[in-house]
Amino acid sequence: MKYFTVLKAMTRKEVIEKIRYWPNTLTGVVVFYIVFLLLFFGAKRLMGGQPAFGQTIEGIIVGYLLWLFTLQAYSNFTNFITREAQWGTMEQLYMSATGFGWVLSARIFANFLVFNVYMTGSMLGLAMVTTGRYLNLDVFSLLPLVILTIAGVYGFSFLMGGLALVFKHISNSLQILNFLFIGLIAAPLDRYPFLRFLPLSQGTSMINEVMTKGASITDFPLTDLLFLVGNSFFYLGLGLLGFKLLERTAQRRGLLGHY
Amino acid sequence: MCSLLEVENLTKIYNQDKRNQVIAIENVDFRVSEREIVGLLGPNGAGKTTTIKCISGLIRQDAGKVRVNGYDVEEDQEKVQENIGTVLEGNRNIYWRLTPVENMEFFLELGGKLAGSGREKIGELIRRFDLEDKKNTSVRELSRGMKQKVALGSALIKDPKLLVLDEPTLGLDVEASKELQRTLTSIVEKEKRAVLLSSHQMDVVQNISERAVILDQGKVVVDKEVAELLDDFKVQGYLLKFEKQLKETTAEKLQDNFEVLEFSNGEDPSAKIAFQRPEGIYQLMDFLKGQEVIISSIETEGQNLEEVFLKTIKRKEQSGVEER
Repeated sequence: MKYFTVLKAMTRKEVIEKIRYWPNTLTGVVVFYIVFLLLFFGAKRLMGGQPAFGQTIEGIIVGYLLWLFTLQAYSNFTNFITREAQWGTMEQLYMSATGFGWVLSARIFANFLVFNVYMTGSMLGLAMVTTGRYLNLDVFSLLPLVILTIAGVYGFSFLMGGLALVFKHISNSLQILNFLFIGLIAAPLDRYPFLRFLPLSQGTSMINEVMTKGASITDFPLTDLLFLVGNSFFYLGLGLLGFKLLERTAQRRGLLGHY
Repeated sequence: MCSLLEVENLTKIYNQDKRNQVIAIENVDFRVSEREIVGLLGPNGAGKTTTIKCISGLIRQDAGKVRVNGYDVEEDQEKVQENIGTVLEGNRNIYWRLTPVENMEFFLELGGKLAGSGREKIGELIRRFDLEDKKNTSVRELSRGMKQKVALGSALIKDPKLLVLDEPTLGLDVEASKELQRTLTSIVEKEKRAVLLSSHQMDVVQNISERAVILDQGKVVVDKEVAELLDDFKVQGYLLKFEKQLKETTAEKLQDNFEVLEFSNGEDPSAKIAFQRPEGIYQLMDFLKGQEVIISSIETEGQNLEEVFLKTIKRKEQSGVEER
């Protein structure tokens, strides 16, 4: 029961804040839409005359959405820890009935749910209307693939969160990671198959297949799916382990809540 | 009475493996029983906040045990959190973007209970803290005193047996502080809870605490009933006002030979002097007569916790506690 109530508390708070501070929520959508427009029209100007551009549009939309997912997964999460420490509420979260690990997981769930409803949903709609390309939205195939792909990124989120607990100012590392993730989303797996061992690449490639070529999750070989599961859990596990170690360090040094 | 908090030989050393090692607290030992308010006192850097954070499970101790309502902080963290409500220094223990009701609902659910089950309790706390008019206003728009009430309400909402408060009256005006003190007393008396209260405001501790634990340089130097403590340090105190400023040499001699608690040699020269024995006043009179000092008035003064605290710390320094 207590795990459910913590989950509910985090989700409700997220919804209240997004509605109460709606200008901020709306600004976020507008800014990300402008970034998409710049990306799309920039690409169109560079290679608009080439016959392959038609296939690239779908790639741009899918890549952009995945980047959004990734961005909210790791950056939002780290910002959450930093902000709570600044607000002085971090220590209260730490004193929850379920322990801090579950509070963070609940926050991930809440953020994933709310962000996807207002940001990914509106961005997908706006991107499709702007480009005139309507993607295959096979939720049955996409949802598990997106969750598995992003799970690996959450490993990095936990790790960065742990680093934020101990070192506080880690925004530069976040920027570097941002570029790294963009690279991994765009990684050409057909040319460099070893890249699939890194996070995101394998999942991105499969999501691309579903959204642009109309593939279903059942069309993928079982080995590919198992590889994705293994890859994501490996990075998630690694991140959780790192977080636990850093959390203990923060507790030992009395750094929780300091900023 | 059963102990709701047991602190045994609690030790915390920061930077343990490094040269700039700091022993924050060492072998701290005390208990807080049901229906008891205990004041945790100490000068800055004495280890009060470290002790409170170890009790709340926010800092991992290096040695010793902390048990809250029988649950070990290291082994039963979740059970401990069900039994403890902590409000740390400052009023940012709550979300300023949420309303008082939303904060209480959030912290109730964070404590593992459904918001619906606590509606009545939330209503009761809102009434008790006189927040009815502001219950749906964002906390950021409330006064400091009201924010502190919301923080206290958010800590009380999960019905903790032990309430740990770090400087709860800091920054509050006199009326708000008094109101908070009344609330704490009533909570403890009516609801069988216990409060551990850290404060620099001695009058607050003296008003509402039965017992005081004084920390100095990370160690417990006093753990006694407040009344007993005041009695131990019971002295006859006198406030003397002088007709004119004292000569420099007279002022120096006065401070060297008597226990001068306060001294002013300005426009209205005065000295507050304490005596361990009532007959000490005769020696003072002889001294002042010898120095040709004219006294304009004499008033007797009682001892308060602040003076006891200052004397305790001073006594500790004089007894040559090892340097940390």
